[in-house]
Amino acid sequence: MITKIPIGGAAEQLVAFVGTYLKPLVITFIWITLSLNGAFFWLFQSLPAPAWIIGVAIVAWRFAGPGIAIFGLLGLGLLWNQGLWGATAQTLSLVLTGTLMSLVVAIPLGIAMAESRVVNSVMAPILDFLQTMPRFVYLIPAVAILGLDVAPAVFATMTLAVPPPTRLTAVGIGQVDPRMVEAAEAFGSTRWQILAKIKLPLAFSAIMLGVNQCLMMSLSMVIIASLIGAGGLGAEILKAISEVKAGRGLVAGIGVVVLAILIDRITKGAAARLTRRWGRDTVMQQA
Amino acid sequence: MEFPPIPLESWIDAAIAWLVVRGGPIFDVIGKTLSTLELLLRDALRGLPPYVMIPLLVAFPLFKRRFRTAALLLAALLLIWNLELWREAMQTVSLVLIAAGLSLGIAVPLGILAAESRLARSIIEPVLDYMQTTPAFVYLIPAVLFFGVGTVPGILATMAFALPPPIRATSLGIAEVDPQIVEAAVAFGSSRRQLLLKIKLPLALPYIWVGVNQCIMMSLSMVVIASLIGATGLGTRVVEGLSQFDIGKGVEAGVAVVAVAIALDRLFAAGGGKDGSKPAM
Repeated sequence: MITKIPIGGAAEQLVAFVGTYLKPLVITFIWITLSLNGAFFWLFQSLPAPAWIIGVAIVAWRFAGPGIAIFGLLGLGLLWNQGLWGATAQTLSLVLTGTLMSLVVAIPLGIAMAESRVVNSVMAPILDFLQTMPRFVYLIPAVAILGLDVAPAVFATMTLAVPPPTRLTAVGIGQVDPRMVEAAEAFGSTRWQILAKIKLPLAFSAIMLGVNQCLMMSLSMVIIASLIGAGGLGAEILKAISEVKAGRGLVAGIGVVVLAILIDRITKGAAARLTRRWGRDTVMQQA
Repeated sequence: MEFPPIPLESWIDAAIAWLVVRGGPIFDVIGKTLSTLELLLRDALRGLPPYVMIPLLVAFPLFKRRFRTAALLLAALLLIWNLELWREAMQTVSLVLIAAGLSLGIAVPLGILAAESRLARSIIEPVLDYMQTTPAFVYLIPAVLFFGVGTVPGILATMAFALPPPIRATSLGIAEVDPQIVEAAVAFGSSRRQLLLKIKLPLALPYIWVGVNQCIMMSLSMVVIASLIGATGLGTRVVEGLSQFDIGKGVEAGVAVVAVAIALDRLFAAGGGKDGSKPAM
């Protein structure tokens, strides 16, 4: 038997390297995530819970219909009633921070993948790899580089939440009818104009689907990230599991499902409405 | 306006206590059966040493003349062996196979039902929507409530988590069968059962295989998470790596999980369509 391939040792050295030489980058990342998360959390705390719940219900009514609005009113009301509003606000702040940072990376990356063959051939296998890894595994490098608390949770979230919107942006732009691009070129559009005025509006519905996926992935990972010290509903579940408090765990679990359904339905509805207003839904045109 | 909190927690606790007392024997039977099955399969998988297992597994795609698949499979298996994680990997695989097997046993009939009956579809569709929006972590809770900590709740949570894709794939596959073929069979006097068994299911098989593959991949991802509630295997090593701040240990276990994922994916792709080709979904 040949000697063991030193994967573990290599990983440790890589982490040590990042810790020593890329320290400014790591500190900047921690600073950005902490401020963003703090800002979102402050926002959630700035108004009393009933105001937020009614606000969410109104938004849900507008974008997803009365059924989801009532569901939101009852579901969030239940969370508030059960004394889980603080945990909910923590989870939502983390989800929003993770989603925002993922989209900042994913959408430009998706555009680059669609526009450049080289970027595409480099990124495609990396995205494949990121998506086949079981989500649990992402926690390890996150903790190793960033320690515990908010920053590693957001980092782990990004590793899971970046691939879907990147893919969908690239696919959306790739599916734009080449005749449209040709026509724009014939009228003397610059490359930038073609991207901003032709391709992105036509890819809008795909990008919005990517945003929806990104939010769902963030929520799923933020809950798991309670293992590495991210607070919120996930932490409540983890505590309940370890203390074998059935009721507590199930209530927090119901809370997570309520959030998941609300986020999913509202963003899907909003995406459809915004696509009608700003984008040109290629899928609808073809149908 | 301040409402007193609804005593939901104590209601749930009471309901579960009642269920556990009343349904105790049933839970016992389910638990015993599953843990026995798991033990048998684990021992079987571990019984053969890696230098026997690896050639046996690699022979499967080789036999079908798929050399690239065989090479990838060989590399993945050798990596697991090399990392000295073979025993843990086999335990994870045995959990995955049992959970995915149970899941498919439920999912394929449900998928057929959803394709054949409008009523069933209108019930199953929204349930699947809810299941797929529920984050993985939440599946652990009811499993722990009824079965405590260990491999059995791990298997059950995994089974539930992996249900939706094969149900959808099966029902889609049957729905996509060319209606002209169905008409022709009806014209020749096929009974409904014959139509299903001899026409629809064989034609839906490529889709069902995609469902099987997805079910196995989802099971693997969930089994790793289920190590939190005592489903031992590679996931346990990842959790240990996390809690002991042992980066090397955690990363090695993580890489082994990926190798298991690749190996399972390749093995089941080899069992599926002609060149691992998948229908567009």
